[in-house]
Formats: sequence, structure tokens, C-alpha cells
Amino acid sequence: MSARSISPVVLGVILALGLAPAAWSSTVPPKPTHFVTDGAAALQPDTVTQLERELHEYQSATGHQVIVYIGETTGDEPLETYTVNAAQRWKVGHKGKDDGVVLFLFMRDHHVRIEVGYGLEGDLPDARAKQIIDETIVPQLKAGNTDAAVASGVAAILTTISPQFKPSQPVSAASTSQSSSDTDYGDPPGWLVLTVFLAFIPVVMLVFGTIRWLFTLPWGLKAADKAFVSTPALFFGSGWGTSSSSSGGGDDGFSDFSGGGGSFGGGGASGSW
Amino acid sequence: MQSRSLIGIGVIIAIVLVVALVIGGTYNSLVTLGQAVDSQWAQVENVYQRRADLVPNLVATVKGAANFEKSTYIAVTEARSKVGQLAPQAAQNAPNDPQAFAQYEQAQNQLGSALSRLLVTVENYPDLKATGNFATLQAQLEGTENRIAVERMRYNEAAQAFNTKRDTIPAVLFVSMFGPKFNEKNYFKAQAGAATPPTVDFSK
Repeated sequence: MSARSISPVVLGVILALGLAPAAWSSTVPPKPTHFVTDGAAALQPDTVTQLERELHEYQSATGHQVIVYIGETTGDEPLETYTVNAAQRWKVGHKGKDDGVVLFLFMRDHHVRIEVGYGLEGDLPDARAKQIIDETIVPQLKAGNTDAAVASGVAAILTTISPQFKPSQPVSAASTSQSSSDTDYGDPPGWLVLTVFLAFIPVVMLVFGTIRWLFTLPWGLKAADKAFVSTPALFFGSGWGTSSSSSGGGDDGFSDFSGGGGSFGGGGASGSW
Repeated sequence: MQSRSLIGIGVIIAIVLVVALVIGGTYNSLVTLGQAVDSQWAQVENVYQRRADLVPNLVATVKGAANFEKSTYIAVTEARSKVGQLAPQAAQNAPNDPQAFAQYEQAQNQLGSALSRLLVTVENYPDLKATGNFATLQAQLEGTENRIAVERMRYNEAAQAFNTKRDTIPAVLFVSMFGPKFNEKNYFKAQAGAATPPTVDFSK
């Protein structure tokens, strides 16, 4: 009898204690797999394609990760708490460098936020982020032109952080022109080949680093195998570069995003429209 | 007979070993968690310092505006100097010292509310609001308030991880052996609206 009457209370306490953190963590959406995540169907597919290419190219050129996330609402949570938790959990940017930026839009809330990783707070100060939101993004959102708002906002972020970076195709074209992605299937442009080649260098280095490391172990590979490791470095590099560039004409292979361990401390700015 | 006493000795040695291992492991994880709290606390101090560094510039800017209400920026200057008077040594040790922690928190909260009062007052000075210098300062201040909220939250999480470890078995059984080294860490109390930085709408 008494056990019966107590147990719901105990259960309630356990649930309250146990579920509070769970509820908190569940408000962070799953980790994006693309540079542009449009969870509110706010952008034209062409714009998404264009931006993903742009941001992937930017990452290859500078190493910084800039991604776009569009959602409906942050729910009951304050905008800034939600966005910093999400960016931190997604690990945008690189470990140690913390060079990630996330442009958030919440269509139903009419909120926009630029979340800046620790490592880029100097290159993209709060005041500049605020300026980009107030002068570039919000006016176009007010005018109902979401595509142009996001595209020009991203362009402003990229040129602020890396003034020397020039996209191979202007981003602003995304909002007006038709997509040129169909023509890309035939012959990958030069930067694409270069990008893939550059992207594979760390992989090759990692593979060979691991093999070398095996030699340092007493039970590792024998010295006779060393010739196999040391000679084909060039062969491997170029071989992989060409084989993957010939297979990589599509868009999806180049828009994959995965966080590199960057950290966020609440830098950036917010706005609403 | 002899083998029985040997078994007894073996059992005792095994028990002592297991206890030593458990204590050692727990001790090490307490040290690790404690260091996480300390480094997070350093982050908290950083962002508060960042805010304090903005104050002179902000005060200079609003002073320049014609007939700006003196009382508001004097309050900010006073709160700023109280923050400056906090002993660095005590502030550094604040996670372990409830009194120093309370002092630190109070001084910082005072500066925070003085600043938000100042921002509200600026609402009445459209000319001041319109200057680029003030807009920049305001964006910096908002960003800094947001950073403070983030680092405070992470500090509380780190402190909670430490305190949970400290107050559960096995640590709680022997933690007093080490004296004040493993005191409970202090928490920031949630203020009303602490999660949201004071945002003032200047667009009107």
C-alpha cells in the first residue's frame, strides 16, 4: 500500500531528474550532413546547390567551415542558447582552430543568427556580424527574397573572413539565373579536380602515416615491405586524384559536410525581420 | 593450516589492492574534473573581463551625447570600478570559496544591470543611437553578454559533473581525507532572464 503510493512520486522524481537533460539535448537538431540544410523549404533547390558548391569550395580553399541551417523555430528555447548548443554539438570548424561559422534562419520565428566559432571571432567580430544581418540579410528577408538574403549573407560572411577568396561562380547569380549544374555532369571544371585532389592529400598522408607507424612497432611490417610504402607515394596521390575526379561530376559528393571538432562560445550576432 | 593463513593473507592483499585502485582511480577523475572546472572558470573570468573592457569606451560615447542622463553612466562607472576592485587571487579561487564566489557574482551582476539600464536610457537619444560608433559598441556588448551566458552555463555543467562525482560513492566515502582540496564547487544561480542577454530593440 505505502510502496504503491510512494512509487509514483519516486518515479516522478527519477523522470524529472533523468528527462531534464534529455529534453534539453533533444532540442538540438541532428547533425547536418550538408553545407546547406533547409528544414523549412525556404530556398530554391538551385540556390541550395549553388551555395553548397560555394561553401565546399571555400572550405577547400581556406579550411574554414561555414554552413547554413534553416529551421522553422527554436521552440521555447531562446535563440542564442539554441544556436550555440547546436553549433557546439555539430562541431563545425576544426579542432584546435575552432574556425566554424553557422548562419541560422528560423522562418516561423523570423529570427536570424550568425554563430561564430572561437577561432574566427577576430576575423568576424560581433559588430560586423550584426552589420551583415542588419544591412544585408534582414532587408532582403523583409522584402520576401529569402534566396538572395541567404546568398548575399553567405557571400558577405566569406569575404569578411577571407577577403582574398573569390568564388568561381558568383553566389548572387543563384537567386536569379537557372542552375548550371546540369552541364557539370559532362566535364568537371578545373577547380573541381583541384579540390578533389587537395581533399585527398590528408587521406593519403593519413594512410601512409599509419603504415609508417606500423613499422615502429616491434611486431610490425618487415623492412622488406618498406619499398612498397616509400615508392608509390606519388603514384597513389595522382592515381586517386584522377580516378575520383572522373567519377565526381554530381553534386552530392561535394556537398557532404562533417564537423571537424570546432568549438563555439556565443560569438556572433542576432537579428529579426 | 598454513595454507589457510596464506589464503587469508592473499585475500587481504587483494582487498587492499582493490581499495587502493578504486581510491586512486576516483582521486584521478576528481582531479581531472576539478581542472575542467578551473579552466571553465577561467573562461568565465575572460568574458566578464571582456565586458569590463568595453565600459570605458561605452561611457565615453554616451558622455558625448548632449544632456545625457548622468546618473546612468555614473552607475555603470561605479559598478565597473567595483568589478576592478575584486582581488584577482580571490576571484581565481572563487569556485572553491563560497564567499569569494558570491562577491564576484554580485559585483558582475551589478555591472550587468547598470549596463542594461544605460542601454534602456539610450532609447531616448535617437541621435546617439544613430551613430555608427554606438551601434558597434552595442553589438559588441550584446555579443559579450551572450558569451557570458554561454560560459556561465558551461561552468555550471562542469561544476555539476565534479560535484556529482564528489558526492557519490565511492568518492564521498574518502573525499574528506584530502581536506579542502575537493570542496564542492559553487554554482551560478539562475537569474531571471539569465539565459537571454538583455536585448534592447533600437529599431523603433
